[in-house]
Amino acid sequence: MNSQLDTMDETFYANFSDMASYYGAYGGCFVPETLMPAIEGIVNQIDEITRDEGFRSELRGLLEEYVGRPTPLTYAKNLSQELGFEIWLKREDLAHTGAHKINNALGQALLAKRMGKRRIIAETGAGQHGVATATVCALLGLDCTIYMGAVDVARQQLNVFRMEMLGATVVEVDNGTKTLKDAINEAIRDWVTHVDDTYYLLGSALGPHPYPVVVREFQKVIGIEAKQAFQSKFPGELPTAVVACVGGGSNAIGLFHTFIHDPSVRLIGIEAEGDGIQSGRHSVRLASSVDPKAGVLQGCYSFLMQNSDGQVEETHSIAPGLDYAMVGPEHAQLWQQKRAEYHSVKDEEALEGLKLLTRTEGIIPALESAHAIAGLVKLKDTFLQGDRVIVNISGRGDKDMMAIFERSKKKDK
Amino acid sequence: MKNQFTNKLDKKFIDAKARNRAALMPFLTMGYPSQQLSLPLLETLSENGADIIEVGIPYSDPVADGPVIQASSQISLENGTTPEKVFDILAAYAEKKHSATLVIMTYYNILLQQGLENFVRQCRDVGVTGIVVPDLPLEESKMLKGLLDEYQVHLIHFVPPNISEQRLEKIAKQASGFIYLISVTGVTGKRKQLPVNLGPLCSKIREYTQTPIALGFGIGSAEQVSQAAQEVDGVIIGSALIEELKEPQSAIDNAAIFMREVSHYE
Repeated sequence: MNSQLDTMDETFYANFSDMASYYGAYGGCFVPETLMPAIEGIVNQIDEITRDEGFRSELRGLLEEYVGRPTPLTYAKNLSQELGFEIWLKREDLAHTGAHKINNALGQALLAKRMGKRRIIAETGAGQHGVATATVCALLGLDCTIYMGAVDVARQQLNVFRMEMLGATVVEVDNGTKTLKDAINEAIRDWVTHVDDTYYLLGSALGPHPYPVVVREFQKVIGIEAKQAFQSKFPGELPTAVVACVGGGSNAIGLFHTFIHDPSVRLIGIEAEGDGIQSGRHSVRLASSVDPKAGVLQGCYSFLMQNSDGQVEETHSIAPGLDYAMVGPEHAQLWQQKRAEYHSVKDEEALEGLKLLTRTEGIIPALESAHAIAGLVKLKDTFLQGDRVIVNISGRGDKDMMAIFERSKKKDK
Repeated sequence: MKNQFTNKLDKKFIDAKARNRAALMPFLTMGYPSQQLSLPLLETLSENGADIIEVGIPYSDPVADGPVIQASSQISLENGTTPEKVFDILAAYAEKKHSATLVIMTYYNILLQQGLENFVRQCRDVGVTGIVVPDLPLEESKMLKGLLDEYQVHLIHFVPPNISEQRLEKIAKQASGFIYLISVTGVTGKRKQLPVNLGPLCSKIREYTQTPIALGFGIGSAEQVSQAAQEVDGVIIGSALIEELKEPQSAIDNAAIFMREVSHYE
């Protein structure tokens, strides 16, 4: 085989030899004692399992031949002309199942299988992580249960149907705010109850240690491929900036990670501003002008939308994958170190971003990824002609067509 | 390091043992079914046989709790319950010199946002003798433990049935007040049967520590209390009691009846 992946060095592979449970002050492992044996099980075995040549070649083979990696880096000629600087799209929308989520689902499912677990549970917001998990469970012959908030079930009907077709049991979560946060609570409760035979396949770079590092290590392939493709076109050069949307932050950290030690590269995360900061209906943890507050939610200490008592607040975004109260701990550290910058765009701006990319390039991004495009538009005056910016198109927009259609019908009335 | 202090919580276990009974430890979500009822409910439990009352400060995302306590927390939050209001209720309870001592159960973010030291000081000031934090495993508890030792309030550690020998040893070394033994892996809520291996589990814990053992998660009837009392030093009853308190009009009477029933176990 003479694929691009074969030429990649050691850095391509997930590396768990030197895991710390904290990123500066953020991270940690705040879970019930009952889960500690399961967490310790992962922490103690993950390095040996993932270092094994058999694991590496199986994962690499599946990433190439099943997921379709490496995904392309597409030059967005028309959009570049419109905005006045070069825009390169990292095409995670072309990965199998239509989003970056499959990279992590595959890595963790192979890990779970080698740990002897037969049953996989996962949470899902937009449905993309649920679909990715159900997909790899079908492939690997694992039992699969997906927790999904009732509000998300209602707005992502087709993904529910997809997961069920793939053989997963979808459990509708009807308590709390009935969205991603409550789906995670319910998945944790399932895990606490079935801790012996069940593996919790968490979908974002969040939650208790070691999940933030596990998810990042299985997603860093995004940035590594992007850098390699970029440098094959511009030898020895680096992009001016890399841009991604940030919910929990897995696609963003996947893109950022390989560039963290390239100080000339701006790392730009775009959060979901919903109806605007003032409205209170948003999902902005970092980009707000107000001092962000850190707290503990679902196993992790990081920046969190909460009231002064510590109760977690309701969030809102048109993009279900960004509709979450906490940002991952590595982003918290990058923000605090001022290594990465975080901005936000509103629902309406994201919709405009979606239409812009669709109209100029013939690529319909997911509403989540449309936030990254809208972020470029918002920040366009900070770039110069000749700048080269990589934007992660973390997923494709098919799943959102119904919601956008309904919204435009409402507007017409 | 072994803690040097003792407080009313230790005394409650000693007293129960002297009577050859297990300490009875009902759980009550503060602000449920209403804020007005919290103080009279605490008094009712104390007057009807409770030795130690576990008081829950509601949190929006209680991952260790089953449906009954989740629902009570949500209703309490909708009632406008805040940590500040809970401490007011506990201060009023403390003034009346009731027999049962109070242990707080809440999630770590509630403590963090009040400020750990501020929270611990308030606990001491209203006579709270222990704190249970279900999402704070041993590794993350050092800071809180240091403060609690200083203020002479016990940090209660959990021991789940799936614990490793190594971890049990570490937790036992830290243990103070009581060990919260979880009867089965899972969340809070009534269950039909007690675990079969309760005896061996307790003997194993006692190899490492003399700290009293209280059994929780899943206990709801006098028979189960009676069974558990043969092995452990205290019995925690949560969801089964909370279920009796749905209707504000009957909550006090139901609490009294429930408490008398379980305290007269054979």
